[in-house]
Amino acid sequence: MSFVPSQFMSQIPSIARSHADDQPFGIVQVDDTGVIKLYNRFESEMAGVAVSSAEGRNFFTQVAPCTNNRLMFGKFKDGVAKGELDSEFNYTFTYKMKPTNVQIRLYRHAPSATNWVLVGLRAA
Amino acid sequence: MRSLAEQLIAVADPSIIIPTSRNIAESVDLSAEERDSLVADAASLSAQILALASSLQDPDDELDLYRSLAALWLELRFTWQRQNMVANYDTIRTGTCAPIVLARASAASYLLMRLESLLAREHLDKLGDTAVELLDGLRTNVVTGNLHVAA
Repeated sequence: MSFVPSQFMSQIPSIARSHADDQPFGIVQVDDTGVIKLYNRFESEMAGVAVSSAEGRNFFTQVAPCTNNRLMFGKFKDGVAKGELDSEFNYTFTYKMKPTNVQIRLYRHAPSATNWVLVGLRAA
Repeated sequence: MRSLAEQLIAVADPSIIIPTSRNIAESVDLSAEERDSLVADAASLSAQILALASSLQDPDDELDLYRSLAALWLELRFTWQRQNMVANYDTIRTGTCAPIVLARASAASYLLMRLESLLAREHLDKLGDTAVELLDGLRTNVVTGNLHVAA
């Protein structure tokens, strides 16, 4: 079972910023190259990165370089190329923070061609 | 205004770095030996940075000191990156990873963050982008067969 409620998934891509900020998990909307369009409050507080300095920068290479590898960015690029992406897996963030175990869901909403990186905390 | 060397001495202050490193070590499940090893590594790096600041303390040395800080930032960035790769590949492969790897990655990125206070934002962006491009270029070379492992 996903850490992202199915009700939330059904609302993609029409997620208002205020609604995104109310969620108890990280929400990052990126374009097909990884540039951040929306960065919610949870993600900002967990990563210690201000929303204003995250949006407009590349999530995988500039804001969260721990994701710049085959496991994450590679999977994302493959999904975008295929036009199909829905993958959930465990990951660990260590960049400028204490070790933080997370679950990641990479999702592409095909009808709107929007891409989403969803991040939930998990127990060690 | 304080010189760059004086600011670097403050950034590398062992009375701040050592307790924070201990705190990172205690945030994961490490043996006493692993904890001590992590803290000792941080103390050693702090001492090396202090030595750098001491050697290049003349105002005429400031440009070389700044360059050395940029190089140190890259060193720590690549150290962190290697630990991060091990942690996440192991997590995907086995479902878990050695806590010491996580602690080392966090400790490296903590020092990275402290150094960043002395580097201009535009230079940090350039260093980060260059680090990414350098390795992405290598990856392309590997894919196209242009990189050969030395015998």
